[in-house]
Amino acid sequence: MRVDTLTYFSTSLPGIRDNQTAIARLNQQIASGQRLLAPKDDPLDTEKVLYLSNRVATRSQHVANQDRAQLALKYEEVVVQEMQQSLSAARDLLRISPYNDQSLRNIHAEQLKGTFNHILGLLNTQDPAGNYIFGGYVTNSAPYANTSLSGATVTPLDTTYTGTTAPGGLRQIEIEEGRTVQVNDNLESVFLFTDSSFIDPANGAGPNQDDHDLLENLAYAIANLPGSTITVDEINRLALVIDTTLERLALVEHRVAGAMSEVEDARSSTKALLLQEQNALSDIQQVDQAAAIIELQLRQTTLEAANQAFARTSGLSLFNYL
Amino acid sequence: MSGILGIAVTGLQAAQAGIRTTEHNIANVNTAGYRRQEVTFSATQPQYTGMGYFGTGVATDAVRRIYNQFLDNEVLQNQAQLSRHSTYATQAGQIDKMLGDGGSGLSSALDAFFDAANELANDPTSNAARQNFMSSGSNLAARINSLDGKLRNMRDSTNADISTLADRVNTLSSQIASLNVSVAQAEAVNGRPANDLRDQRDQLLAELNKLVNVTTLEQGDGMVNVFIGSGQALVVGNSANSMSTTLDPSDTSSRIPVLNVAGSTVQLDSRLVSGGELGGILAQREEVLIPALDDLNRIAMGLAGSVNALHRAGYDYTGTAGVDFFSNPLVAQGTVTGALEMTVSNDLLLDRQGYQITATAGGYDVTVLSTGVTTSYASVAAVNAAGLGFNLSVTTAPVPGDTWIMGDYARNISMALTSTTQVAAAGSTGGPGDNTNALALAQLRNDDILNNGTISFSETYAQTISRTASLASNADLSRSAYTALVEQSTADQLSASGVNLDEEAVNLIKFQQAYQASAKAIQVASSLFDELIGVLR
Repeated sequence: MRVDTLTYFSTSLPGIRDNQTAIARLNQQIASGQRLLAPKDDPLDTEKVLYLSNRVATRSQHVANQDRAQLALKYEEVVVQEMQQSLSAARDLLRISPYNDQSLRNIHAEQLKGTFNHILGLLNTQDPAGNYIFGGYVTNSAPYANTSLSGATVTPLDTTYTGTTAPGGLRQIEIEEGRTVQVNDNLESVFLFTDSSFIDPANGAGPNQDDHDLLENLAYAIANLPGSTITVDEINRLALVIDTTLERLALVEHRVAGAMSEVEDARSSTKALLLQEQNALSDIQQVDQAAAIIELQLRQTTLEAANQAFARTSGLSLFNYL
Repeated sequence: MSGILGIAVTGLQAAQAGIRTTEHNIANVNTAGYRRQEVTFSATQPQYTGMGYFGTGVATDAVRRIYNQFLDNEVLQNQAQLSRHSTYATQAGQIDKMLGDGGSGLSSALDAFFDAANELANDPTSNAARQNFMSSGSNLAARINSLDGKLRNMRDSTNADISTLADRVNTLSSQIASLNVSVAQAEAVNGRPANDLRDQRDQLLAELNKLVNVTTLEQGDGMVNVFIGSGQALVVGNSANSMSTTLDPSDTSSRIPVLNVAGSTVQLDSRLVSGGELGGILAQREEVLIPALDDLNRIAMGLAGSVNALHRAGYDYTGTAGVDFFSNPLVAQGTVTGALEMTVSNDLLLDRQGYQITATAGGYDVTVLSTGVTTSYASVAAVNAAGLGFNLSVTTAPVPGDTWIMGDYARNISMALTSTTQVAAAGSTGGPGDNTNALALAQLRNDDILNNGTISFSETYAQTISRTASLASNADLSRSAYTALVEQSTADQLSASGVNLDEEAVNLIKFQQAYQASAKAIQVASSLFDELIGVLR
């Protein structure tokens, strides 16, 4: 075939150009660690990357949500357990009160003051961010108030609840796509409950005789244990109020424990899937450094060969011999 | 006797012609479009004598250029496609990189926004979480603005490119028309091919063909007529039709080229101009740029419609009913009494340029901006039932004359809240700890809102990226393919027409020796004359 001078000189060019392009690209890949420098490098893989990135972002957020839910539940669990301990101790005091003499009952009454204040304080527990955790949506003011012990003499008074009333006011956190978990409880029905099976000493018989108020009954015990008028039956019914409260509190504790194990389950599956998706993502996105460096070496050799070929052939001309 | 000298002289002349042409070839070895020339010789009319025919020397017949019409056409066709795909690939590659880039793309901003909604749901009373939700919202809006701005800039520069290309086409076509005249004149005078003028004209045609794919038809007088599109004449003989640009009637932000033929204009769209830079620009704009702008607008409208509707349904930190989170896509024109809100019902039906909505005594007039068609509706419900792609709701009753424009939202979307108190995380007035609305906002992440309620926001954006990526990648492949084809066909063409210096060196020696031989023959003839004159002296 006849070859013209221009073609003769420029045949090495495509080889040099292609190798230079490949080397520049390999350099970029190795420096950035990314296999895909732009979506167009591999549209199909880009689609997978976008899908996986979205999944990873959503799941990472769910892991954060789960941490958050677990923290709130753990916090509540600790507070509920503290309430249980305090109330159990109070109940034990009342169970032995009828069989003690007056001086010991005076001491019991003083101890029950501690229980009263402790329980009221726990009902108004604030989380580390300063939000009241048992007031439902009302997180910015103490939801429970009882002023029975505030006066010069102890007077049993009703507990007032200013938080959100059940069933509303229960906060949910999304732990998986479309799945939420309840992370707080409304203790209104635990400490202010209705039970028609008995009449408590503080409230007495009357139109609201089915309603029972733990704090009011504690105040009643504090006010009356030092006196001589309180009967054994009354003391037993005071203990019954605490027992019922404890039963109801146990249900809350079970719910919290159930929610925690739900979060734990969700967390282990989310983390497993997250890991899998992160691996898949990095498999697609990341450059195989060893392979890239070997290819770079190969391209360099080819480029050098093309350069040499040009240098050697470009000097050939018949005019040199004339 | 004089015949001896005469023959030698024709030999000298022939050798000179050969040397001259060889030198011309050598001189033009680097001239673009130059085709090597050769001289054709033939033996002159012999002289009859009693002994038979005696030769009388050599005649220089013609200087012709060596070319192959088939190979030339091959190069032209491949070159037009290479220019098209190369332009397409460069521009689509820019958009591809911009959309897919972590720093400027939308994916990460969308994720961050919904993550912030989750954090808000986790901790609705936290000022930091509220601040974060607002900042990620304004960051998302800013991202949409900046992507939209970049795409608009590209659209503007596309318009400028089309105008520049039209000017260059005009320059080339008028040069071709004037060369047509020169070729025809030169060839009419002596009937010989005007080689170098034709080379120049072919070169101009090749240049023109890189801008817009052309077909040519040579006339009997040596002129060529040049056509583009489906046979629209660009050059006819000695006159060229001018190309200019006009605004696309269906999209007034885009310029399209038009050809002015005999007082009327022909609009050249991507179907008519399929090759050359112009073809690449038109196709890229139609397939990549405009759809990306449309997608961005759909995402912005859908986002504002859904987020605002939810946010308005919630309650802020103080228990006050929520307001728009993103700026209202309905922009009041002048002072209005009423207030309207919108949600997207089917984003695929939304008009590219938007709508103008005017309250009238009997309801609402809605003008579709890209067509200019106005329709009157009796009520908001009637507007919503009309299937325009959006639903309106009235928050404050308007008075006749109140006018809103809804369009260009990707450019205008912004954060409407001014303080963290306004973040409506609550779904009730029960207290600041209510996170139900924040949860609902967070769950918008995976709601199928766009593409007529079939895919989520991030999936819509992912579709934009993958569509752009496959178009850009196809253009890259076509560019490589046509680069190879152009190199191959150019090599074939040059193999026939290109100058080979070694060959010319050989020719030079050949004609030099022929010249020397003829000169020797003259010397011999001269010494014969001397002999004869010496005898007579």
